[in-house]
Amino acid sequence: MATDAPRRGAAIGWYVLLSALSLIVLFPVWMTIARALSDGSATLFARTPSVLPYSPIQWDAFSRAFTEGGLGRPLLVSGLVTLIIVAAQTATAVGAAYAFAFLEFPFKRIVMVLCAATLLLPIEVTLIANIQTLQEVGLVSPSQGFGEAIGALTLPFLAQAFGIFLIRQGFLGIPKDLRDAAQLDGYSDLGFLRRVAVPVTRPVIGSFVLIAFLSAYNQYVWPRFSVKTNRWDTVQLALRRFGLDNPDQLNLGFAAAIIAALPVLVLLLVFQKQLIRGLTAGAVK
Amino acid sequence: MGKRRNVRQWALAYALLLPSLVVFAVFAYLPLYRLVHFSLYQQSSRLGGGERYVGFGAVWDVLSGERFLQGTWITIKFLIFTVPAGIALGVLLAMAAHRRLKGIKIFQTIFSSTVASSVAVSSVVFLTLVNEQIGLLRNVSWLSLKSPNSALFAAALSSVWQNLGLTFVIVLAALQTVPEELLEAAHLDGYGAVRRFFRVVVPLISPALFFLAIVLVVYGFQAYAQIELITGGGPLRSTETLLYRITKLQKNTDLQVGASMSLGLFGLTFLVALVQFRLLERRVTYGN
Amino acid sequence: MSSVSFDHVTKRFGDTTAVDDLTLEVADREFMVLLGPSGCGKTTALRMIAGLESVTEGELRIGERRVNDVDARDRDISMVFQSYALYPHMTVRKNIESPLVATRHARPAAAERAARVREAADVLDLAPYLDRKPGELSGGQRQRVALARAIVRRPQVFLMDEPLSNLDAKLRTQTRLELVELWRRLEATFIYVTHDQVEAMTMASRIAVIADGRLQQVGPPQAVYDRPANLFVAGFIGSPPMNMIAGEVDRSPLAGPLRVRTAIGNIPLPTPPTTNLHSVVAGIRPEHLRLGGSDLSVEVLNVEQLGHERHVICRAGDARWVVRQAAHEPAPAVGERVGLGVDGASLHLFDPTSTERIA
Repeated sequence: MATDAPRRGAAIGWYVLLSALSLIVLFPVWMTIARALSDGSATLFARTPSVLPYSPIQWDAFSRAFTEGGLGRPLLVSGLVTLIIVAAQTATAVGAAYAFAFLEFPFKRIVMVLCAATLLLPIEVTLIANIQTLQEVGLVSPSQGFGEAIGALTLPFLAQAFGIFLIRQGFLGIPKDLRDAAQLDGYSDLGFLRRVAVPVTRPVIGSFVLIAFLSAYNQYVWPRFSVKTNRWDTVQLALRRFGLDNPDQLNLGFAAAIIAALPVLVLLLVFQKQLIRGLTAGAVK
Repeated sequence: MGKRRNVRQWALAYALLLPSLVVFAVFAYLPLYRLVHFSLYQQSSRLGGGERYVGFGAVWDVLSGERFLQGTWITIKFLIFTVPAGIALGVLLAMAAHRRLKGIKIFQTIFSSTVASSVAVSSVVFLTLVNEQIGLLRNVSWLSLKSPNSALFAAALSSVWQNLGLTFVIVLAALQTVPEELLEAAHLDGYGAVRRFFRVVVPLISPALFFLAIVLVVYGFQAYAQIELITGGGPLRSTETLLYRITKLQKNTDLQVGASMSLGLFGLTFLVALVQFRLLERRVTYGN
Repeated sequence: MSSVSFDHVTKRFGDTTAVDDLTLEVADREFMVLLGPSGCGKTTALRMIAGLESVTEGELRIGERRVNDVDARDRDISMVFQSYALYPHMTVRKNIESPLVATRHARPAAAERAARVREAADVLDLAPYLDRKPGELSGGQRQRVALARAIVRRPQVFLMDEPLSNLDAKLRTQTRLELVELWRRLEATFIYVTHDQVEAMTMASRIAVIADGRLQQVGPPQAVYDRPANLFVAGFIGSPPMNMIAGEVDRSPLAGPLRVRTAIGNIPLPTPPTTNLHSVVAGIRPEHLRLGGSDLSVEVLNVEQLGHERHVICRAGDARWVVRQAAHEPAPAVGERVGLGVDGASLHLFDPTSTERIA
């Protein structure tokens, strides 16, 4: 497989294959850019479909997505919601992971099983009951205000079992000698957590932060039913705004899709290694 | 050491666990209880207008009814379209990109890039290809959104594309753990490239492939935005997956049916997890 | 500085007894080595002193203070771990400073902390490395950082758990010397755990030999070597190990002088043994056997040249014996039958049932 520098001809062959595959993978992205640059009516009424932008080319779709499409507000909502979820999930996961990894307490096994079992209860399964509950307490309603909407969007995700067990695994990787040494040095439990355990497992926690960001930002189903007014749309929900019934803004939808993907794309490019480690956690030992 | 220390440790443990336990209680276990309740009681049309016990018979009626079975069948078809193809394409990309070549990192980044797109984004992206009015491939019959036979396939295709990044990354990571000596030894033993792949590589990465299959199945159960944004459930409800149907059943009068179907979805998720657990148990020994 | 005493201390983990009724006094400023094979309970004993393991039964004292229920953080002891247990994310400076920062007792002021870190670093020649991370240091340097972290808090007692076992042979010899110098300089109590008898012999004021959780013998290194208390100590201390053979004490006045009869010949006894046992196990150290004697007869299996001396491996009945021979003496041929002379005064006799020393 990872064969040593192959002969020149073979190398060229591989480059051709890899380039062809890249084109296929990226082709849908190109089509989205092409349609974002095409005038909406031209797209709608083109007699034969084309892989190129239809003329007249409109360069301003990306800025109009903000001015006419009002994409700025959903981006802010998404940013805030994602920030809250990531910060809370990391904090709650680190705390719970520490308890599971290092502390002895009554009913530990049962509590661990109860936490792990929530992995079987994704928000999709419990969706209608959770929405019902939040409606009853007034967080989900057509008249929901800022606080209610942010609460509805974040509360179910303030803690999550995957992170707890991922970080617990990281904590368990800390050598026993190091824990003993810290105890003799005089660290309390919280001191050890803050000064030793967290810094030492920073790569694992970093991977988790990225995964948490990805899933929080990319959510669709929960926001779709917990937000009852488009005032509090997240970016993903805002993508619904641009339909075929309004040809004038058709290309804004495609521009918006690209804008929506950009934050995660940047993270992917900057933190590729950590993100991949997080995504593959569990698949490869 | 000492009773006082033990009590302090218990208190600290529960203090650290409390936030997570509260969230799990309110947003995982309470709704599970409420789903069971809703499925057993028919709510009246007005909020707080009382409820009437309908019992397990009513749950059974839903779970054996056309709505649930049809939704399950469509969900299973969606899995058939997405899971094998997702794994196969992931393996193809990973095999192609797992080699020592100058600039291979660029190709690896490209192949993993669809990780950045959400379900909603990839659905919008695929509108440019399959939408019946503006899609580039709107005249390709096996992708047509106008026909019940092909619409689900078109929606599934967007999922396959969206998951490519993840499947690629996971298979590549698995391939990187295959020791090269092993392949060299197989080569020396006279195995050709194809046999080397099926006899040596596939068995070694099978745990990762299995993990991938589970993940893709779970994603399939959760598919929603693809349906809403690409097919709208149509034509003729032919793309209404289980979850899509459940979301349409949130009115008080529908809650009994919606909750019963949610429990059905839970049961399916549970089955998959059970399979996963049984197979994982075989190869992973749990740390203390 | 302080003494440490075990008073009938037992440690059980579930059904297994790791330390069994240990009574041992470690004197103030002593270099005590706990020596034994792996799994014998010596590390558990050390960890009980540290407070990392609880005491199941008995009493453990540091100085005059009973510490059974004292938290590890309040015992005022330092420990050097086999793996060094350095914090990988902290610089050498922060690692050394850590016990001064983390303490829940009076925390020294920053200036004082810096001075003490400096002092500890100077003692161990670490000054140039203070701003590096442990990952950038060699094994020997990491070991010194661990020592510096131990001395910076000026504890009553230093505990060391096989601190040299991750070093290569040459560095180990050098560090042995440095440890003894450090001990003299600090005038502190050292309790040192090892399975390596060379470390024990070369550094200890006294050695405590432990096997199966029980104390076998305690005493100065030479005394333990010269008069092992039982068969275990006799076989464990000394390299190559003591040669052993089963025999019978021949007391019949008709048989001539007092002697031990064995399968390979008779060993003369200068004085009558202090018991009236008939069966014994006789032990002779390799340096107390003389090639060319006439007491015993063995077959040469191999000859190992060590440069300054030679080890002649022989078949003695069912056992393999080693005879030490000076390099300038003529070497026997492999396969040859040779006679061995024994100095009766250097003979060790053990009771085969109790395994205790008779004479």
